[in-house]
Amino acid sequence: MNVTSPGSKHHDVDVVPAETDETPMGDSIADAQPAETDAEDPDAPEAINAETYAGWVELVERIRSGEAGSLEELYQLFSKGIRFYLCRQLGPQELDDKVHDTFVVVVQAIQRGELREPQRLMGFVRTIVRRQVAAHIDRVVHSRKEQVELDPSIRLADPRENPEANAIFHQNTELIHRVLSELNERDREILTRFYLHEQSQEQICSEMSLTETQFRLLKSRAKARFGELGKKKISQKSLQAVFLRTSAGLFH
Amino acid sequence: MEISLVFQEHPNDDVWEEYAFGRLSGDELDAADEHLLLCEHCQGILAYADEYRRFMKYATARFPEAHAASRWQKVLPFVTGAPAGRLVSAGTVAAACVAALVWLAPQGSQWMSTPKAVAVSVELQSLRAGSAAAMSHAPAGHPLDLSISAGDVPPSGRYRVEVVTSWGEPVWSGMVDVNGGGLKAHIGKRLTKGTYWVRLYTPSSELLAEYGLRAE
Repeated sequence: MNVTSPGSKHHDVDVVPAETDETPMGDSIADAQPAETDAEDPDAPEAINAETYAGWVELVERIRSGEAGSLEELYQLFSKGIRFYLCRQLGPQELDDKVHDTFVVVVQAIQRGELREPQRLMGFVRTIVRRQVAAHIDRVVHSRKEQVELDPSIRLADPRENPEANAIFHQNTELIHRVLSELNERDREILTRFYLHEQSQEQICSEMSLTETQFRLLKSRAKARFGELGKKKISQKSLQAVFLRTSAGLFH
Repeated sequence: MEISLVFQEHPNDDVWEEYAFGRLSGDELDAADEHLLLCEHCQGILAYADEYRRFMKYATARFPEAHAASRWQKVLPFVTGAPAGRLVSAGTVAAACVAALVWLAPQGSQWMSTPKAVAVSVELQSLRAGSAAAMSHAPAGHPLDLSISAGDVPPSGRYRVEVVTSWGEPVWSGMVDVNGGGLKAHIGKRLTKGTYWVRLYTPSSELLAEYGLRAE
């Protein structure tokens, strides 16, 4: 039995009516009426269900018995997710090696019988991935602590973005400045509190006498406006794909 | 077979935004992490949330400066009576300056003074707390209010916080106490763009933890 990736329609998505390129942010959201409707993303995969769990149980048994193809199935199932998680936590350097190392640890643990509840395969992999990240950071911290001088022959990854990424970053910054300039001072303050000062929604709503709906609507409209402007100006593929989705009103 | 999972379906965008901010914890975080291992759709949503948060943080920190500069550019042709690109006489420039001062005076200190750099809050979290990326982001050129959850560090009376460059050169150092469930360190020194490491020591200089900080 092949274990398939989950797939389902998206759950609980609010849609903000799209605005044209020439339409500014408009008046304050204080008096705005929210217009939320449920929508389903036809591209979102199915969610995890009982059949998926049963597949994992069978996969674990096949790995333990050494059945041919079982490791490949496990790799296909988790490699992208592990890669995404590790890249987000540790950066892109030596990512292939880290993904491979993590996969080996998972497989060896399964083969040793350390996964006592096969239906908890996801949690098991999650735990191992987190431990791999923590162990890597420990190694980096201690190696940096012990190194006094740098060996000139050692290659270091340049933490700066490449010129193209820098240009795109600054373009996006200008777009956000344009969005912010279309807002009144109160709405700007709300977004500044949330994104710059990282205050929680609850704190902002309490201190500025906002309802949760007003707060979410402002965020949605700013994000949608950014997406509309970005669709015209930004050329980077990875972001543009998401901008197209944003302009269709899937974010809120 | 009884399966318990907080998220039976895809988490909504608010959840991924909270994840990007590192504010999920406990069972909710565990379920989100497990979902990310399988779901490319939500990986994309989280990646966008990360990038959007980064842009918004950077842009809102610099908006007062950018907004002031753009308003000045709009004023200049108006007071000189000529396109901004054309040469003007010294007398016209002097008259323009006087006129600009008269026009700007009602705006008060907001226009005439250099925009005050606002201290930016940055939360540093270790992965053992089960949340947040290894590298936190902060706008360069601003004072910072760094906060570390007390749950991330072993109990101790006082701690020493040190900020070093990626090469290990000390930039700032100070003693901090646990306050309200966490450590807070005000970094008055404005960091230039680059990668920094925030190190947490006991008073006896034992290194407890290290956090990545990227000033952009």
